Amino acid sequence: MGLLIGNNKGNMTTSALTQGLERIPDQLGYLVISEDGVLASAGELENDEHTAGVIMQMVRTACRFRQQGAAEPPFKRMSVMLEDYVYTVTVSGQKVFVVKRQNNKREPVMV
Amino acid sequence: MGNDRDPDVYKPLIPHPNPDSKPLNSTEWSSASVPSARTDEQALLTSILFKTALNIIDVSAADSQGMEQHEYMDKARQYSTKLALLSNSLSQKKPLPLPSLTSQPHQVLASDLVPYSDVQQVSKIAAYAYSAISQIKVDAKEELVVQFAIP
Repeated sequence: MGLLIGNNKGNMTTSALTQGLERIPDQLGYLVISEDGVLASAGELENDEHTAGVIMQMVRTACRFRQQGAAEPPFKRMSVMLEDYVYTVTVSGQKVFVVKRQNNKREPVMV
Repeated sequence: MGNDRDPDVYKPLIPHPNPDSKPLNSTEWSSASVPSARTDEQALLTSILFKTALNIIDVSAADSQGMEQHEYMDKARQYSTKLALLSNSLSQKKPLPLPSLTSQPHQVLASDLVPYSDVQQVSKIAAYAYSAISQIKVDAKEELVVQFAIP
C-alpha cells in the first residue's frame, strides 16, 4: 500500500504515478520524490526519507555528467547495484522515481 | 617583469646594486684592471639576489606602508558594499532544476536490469585502474639538496 507524504503538485494524480511502479514484477518497494520531498513510498522503501535523500544527491550529481558537447545527461536510468538488490532510478517531469528490485545474478540463457 | 612597475606599489626588496651598469664587452674587460675573483663572485651573487628579489613579493614586510585614516575608512566601506552586493546574488541562487531523463518512467524502470556480466566487466576494469594508480610512485634518481663547494 502506498503512503502520501507532502503535497501533490503537478498534473498526474498520485495513484497514476504509483500504479505503474506497483506493477513492476520483482519490485520490493518504491519512492517518488520531488524537490519538496517524498510524494509517495511503499514496500521496503516506505517512509525511507534517508534513502530518498541519498538518492537525490546521487541523481543531482549524475545529471551533471555530459558527453562531449552534449546538452542532455547521457543516461535514462541510474542503477545502484548492491549484493541482493538494485535501486533503479529515473527522472521524469521534475520527479525522481526509485524502484527497489531483486538483483538477479543469473547469467541470461542464450538460445 | 621589468622596470615598468608603479614605484608606490612595488618597492624593491633590494635596491639595484648598479643602476647604470652596462654589459661588459670583451674590450672593456681586457682594458680594465683585473678584478679579484672574490669581487666578481660578489657582484654576480648580488645581481642574482637582486633579480630574484625583483620577482618576490614579501608579504611579511616589516614596514608596511601606512594608510591614512580616511583612506582606510574609504576602503573598508568599498569592500563591505561589494560584499553586500555579492551575498545578495549568492543567496538568490536556486538549485538547478532536474532535467527530465524520460517521458516513460515506468517503462524505463521496469526494463531489464544491467546484465551481471557487464557488472563483472566494469568491476574488473575498475580493479585494474586502482592497481595501476596505486603503482604510481616517485622514482628518486638524485639527491634533492646538494652542497655547492667553492674550491
